[in-house]
Formats: sequence, structure tokens, C-alpha cells
Amino acid sequence: MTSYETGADESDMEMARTIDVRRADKNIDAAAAWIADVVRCQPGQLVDLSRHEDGGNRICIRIERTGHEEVDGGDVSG
Amino acid sequence: MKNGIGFGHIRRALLVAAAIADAGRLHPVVISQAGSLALHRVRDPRVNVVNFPLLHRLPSAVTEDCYTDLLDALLRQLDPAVVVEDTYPDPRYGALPALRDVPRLLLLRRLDGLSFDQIRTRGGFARYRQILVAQTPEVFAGEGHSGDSVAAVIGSGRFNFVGDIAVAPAPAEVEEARTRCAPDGQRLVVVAAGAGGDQMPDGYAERLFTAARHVADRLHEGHPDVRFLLVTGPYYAGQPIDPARNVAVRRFEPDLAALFQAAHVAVIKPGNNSLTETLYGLAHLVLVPDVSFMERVDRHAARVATEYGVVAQPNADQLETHIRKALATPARQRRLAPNLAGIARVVDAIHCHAAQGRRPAAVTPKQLLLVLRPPPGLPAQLPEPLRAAAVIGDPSATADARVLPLSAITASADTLKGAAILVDVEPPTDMTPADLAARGVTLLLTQDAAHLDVATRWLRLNPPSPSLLTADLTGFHATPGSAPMLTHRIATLLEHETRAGLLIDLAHLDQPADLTSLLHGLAHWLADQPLRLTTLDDTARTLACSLLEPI
Repeated sequence: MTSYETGADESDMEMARTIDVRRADKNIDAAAAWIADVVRCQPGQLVDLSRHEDGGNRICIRIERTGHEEVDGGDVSG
Repeated sequence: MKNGIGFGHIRRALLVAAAIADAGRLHPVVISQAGSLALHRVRDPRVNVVNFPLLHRLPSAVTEDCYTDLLDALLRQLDPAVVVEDTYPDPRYGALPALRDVPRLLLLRRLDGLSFDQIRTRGGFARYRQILVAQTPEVFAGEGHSGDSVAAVIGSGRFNFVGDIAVAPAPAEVEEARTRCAPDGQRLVVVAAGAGGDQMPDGYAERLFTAARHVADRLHEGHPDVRFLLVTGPYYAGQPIDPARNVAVRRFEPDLAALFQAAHVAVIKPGNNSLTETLYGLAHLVLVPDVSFMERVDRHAARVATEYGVVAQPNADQLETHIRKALATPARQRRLAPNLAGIARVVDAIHCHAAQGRRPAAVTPKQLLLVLRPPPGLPAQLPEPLRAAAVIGDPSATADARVLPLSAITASADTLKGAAILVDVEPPTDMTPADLAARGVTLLLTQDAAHLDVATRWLRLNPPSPSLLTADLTGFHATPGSAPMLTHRIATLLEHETRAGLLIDLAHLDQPADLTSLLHGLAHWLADQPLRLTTLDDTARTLACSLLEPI
């Protein structure tokens, strides 16, 4: 399972950071591009965005990617 | 794109996505709002999923905005050929700028009559090019929809019934599930409640599974050949249910459809998917309705139970009675035939709209419904642009181009299918709008406000289902040399409107030369105008579509 958090620099998408809503547009576009790339190029992937932390003016959305065979029966928070 | 989080919601999307992948023309991506990734375990390995949290339960508006922006940006990146929304319209998806020019379809699950009306009158259905109803017309009719909703569904051309979206597992899958869950050949009692979440804080799931667990205890001594399988669902949040020698408890079971078929008794919350998949098999059916959101599961359960099973409350005594009775009788005799064409119809519609979405569109010219009250000597063939006009009482008109005056209609059972009825008199007391609807009439025409008021009052006093659609025509009394006034009237009617209706009374043009002059003058003028004459059929369709616009 691979994960990173929105707000990462475009040059290092796997690095975990938090998203700053004051510059959310750039972060969101970068995250969307990364997700779209996964969707287009890697069949069977599940990208889960359901986990997040709300820190007032700082929202952290955790992006987790998993292959078809790796989804277990456990719950995720969200 | 899903807007529901339940077991059936996700399963329906995954079934359609797998069928799209099979067809090989489009790349399916499921965007879901599931609270548990377990619901995606049964997905096709070719199907990608992007899972969001349930957007209407986020803790703050800022978080919701953030997710909405991310969803919009993602859709902009993906640039979909077509979007299929599932279950019912979600306003969050409706406003996404990235989808503004994308063809949208709705795969509509069962809705109760009130909810359907609320969504319709708020314009919730208007943004879809096609709405695929996952029901048969007969089942839809049994839901108790309003006359306007029925008229919109029948007449707008935007709704298609595709039937249940579910799969019937192969016999080998059923046998495998039976062997796995009842290895010693026991008879299975399968208890399931979809994904296991509660619609209301009433502990439905806990009451159901606790009751079923008690029943298993009570039956343990006398029925050693019976094994209970309790599939609580990944959202189950009640007290833990303990397994026992005759009870297995699972949070999630990917082969639930096969288990329903392998069961001797199925005790289920009668949602959409589980119920259909159970009806494909022969298990005795015990329906335990929960409080439901927009679908009145209790009423649906009562309707289904008249043919296939029984309805029970989630308490041990009731369940014990029904389960004991079911165990004492052979398997159910009647089963629902699998709807093999349902998913194929959905896939065809998706392909069709994906292709259309890439073609250039055309602007529709202004439209005029022209109705002529003829004089005795009206030519059999009108000048070319006027041939689409409807002529009152024209015996040569095709069935769907007939205009009949209400004054000429007598009470009978004769079909009037396709005909439009011009309200030219106060309706007789022995005839109701429902009588006309039953004879196949869909469209009423009124001339000017007085007749419109009469027709409106008549309809309100005796509302039919489907509703009769009403088009109001402006009247024009033709006289010799009145062609310029007539064209001026049409231009005025359409100056600020895209559609209008006009009834030209030609009855007083008793000189053939005057009639010919007016008709040719009008035809010549029409040929140069940015409008087209519309048919009665088109008018009815337009009026039915207007029932999908917000009030």
C-alpha cells in the first residue's frame, strides 16, 4: 500500500505533508493529477481518500493506493 | 459515481463497471463514497476505484469544499466520455464545473412516490440525458407515483426501464458457497442487512442480528442440521455477536449472492440488491424492513411478500416463528427470472451517449404548434411548410396527428390513442380526465385563457394518472386579407419565447381565393423564418420534459 498526503510538492508526490487551504488550488490540482495518473495507468488500483484530519484552516486528506488483491475486510476511518 | 454507501449501491456500480470493461470500448472508473473498503473486494481486477468519504457527513464546510474541489479537479483530469450517477441525483455532483459539458446518465434505484416528486420538482432529473430506471414498468407503477411523475416518465423520452441490476451466480458458485459455509451438509439460514449500517439511531442491525442469534440458540437442540450464517456487514456498529457451534458470524461475505441461493432461509433487510439476488434463488424469504431513506422499504417489503415471502420485525419471537415454519417446508417454489438484459441495456446506453457527447450539437430553432380549424373547402394537401400543421377533425390524419374537439367526444371505451383533445366546451359531467387518459389521450389543447381555466379546474377536480399534458393555444380569427396580421401575431408570440401554439380559425374564409391567398402567404412567410412547425408528439414530449424542470 502506498500513501501520501495532499500538499506534497509536485516533484515528490510520495512525501507526506498537510494541505494548506490558503494554497489549496495548487495542492489539489497536483493531487488530482497524481490520482488520475494512477487511474489511467494502473488497472485494478483502489485510491482511497476517505481518511482526513481537519485542523481548522489546515485540512489533511490522506491518499492511499492499494492493488486489487490487497483490500482487506477492515474498516477505514473517515 | 456513487452517492450511496450501501452494499447494493457499490455492488450495482461494480457490476456495471465490469460489464463496461468486458465490452472494451471505454475505461470504467468508479468514484464511490464507501465507508469501508471491504465493499470493493468483489470488484473486477480491471476496474479502478477512487473512494471518497461520504460527502454529506464531513465534519466541516471547509473539509467538504476541499473534497469537492479535489473531486472536480480529478474529473477535469480524467475528462470522462460519459458520467453515470447512481441511485438518485446528488446536488454535489450536479454543480461540478468539470461535468458541465459531459453527457450524464442516471441509474435510478427505487424511490418512493414522495421522494421522486421532490427530486423532480426541484429539477433534480433535468440534467440527465437519460435516466435508466432499475425497475420494470409494472413495479414502478406499483410504487404510487403522482400523475405528473408518471407523465414525465412516460412522455419525456428521457426514462428507460432496464429492470434489476443484479447477477445470478452460476450453480458451481452456489455449490462452492454451500460447501464452504455448511461443510457437513447442514441447511443454511443466512441473515444479512446490506452493509449493516443504521439509517436511523434505532439499533436496527443490532436488534436483527441479536434476535437471529437468539433464534439460533433456541433451534440448536431440535435442529442439528441447521447452520446460521450472520453477515453483519462492514458498517455494523452494534454489540459483537458471538459465534457458536451452529452460528458463523462474518463482517463481510463477498459471495453473498451465491449464499442467498444456497440458503434454505434468507432473513434480509429488503434493500434493492440483496432482495433481488435472493429472489433469483429458492430460499424462503423473511423480509425485515428497516427505516429507509427515500424508498419506503416497509411498503416495498409488503408488496414483495404477497408473492414471495413474509414480513417480520427484528425480534426473536417473530423470527423464530417464521424460520421454524420455513425449515418445516420444502424450498420456495417460485423464483424471479434473472434480468439478463438489464446490465446490457445500461452498457448500450453508456456507449451511445459517450459517442454522442463527442459529436457537434445543433441549436434548435423556435417551434410553433399550428392547429387549423378548417373551412369546408380546405385543400387535401397544404403548401409545404404547413403540412406539419394539425387540422381539427381531419379524417385523413394519422393517429398521432389527430386533433379532436371535446364536443365531439362521447363517453365510450373506444381508443383515442395519440389524439390531442381540444377543449372547446365545458367538459361533460359524465367524462373525467381519467377516462381520456385511459383511452390513450396524453395531450389536451386549450384556446385562450377561458378554456384553459375550464380545463385546469376539470383536471384539478379529477386528477388522472398519468397527468394529461396541456398546451394553451392563442386563437387567431382569419379573415380575407389577414395574412400580414397573422404573421405579425406569430412573430409577436415568438419574440421572447422559444415555443408557442396557435389555433387559426379558417372557418369563415368561405371564398376559395381568400383561403388560398392566406395559406400561401403564410407558407411563403414561414419558409423564411427561423422556426419550424412542431408536431403534437413533439409538443407532448416538450411538456413532459417541462415536468422535470424546477418549479
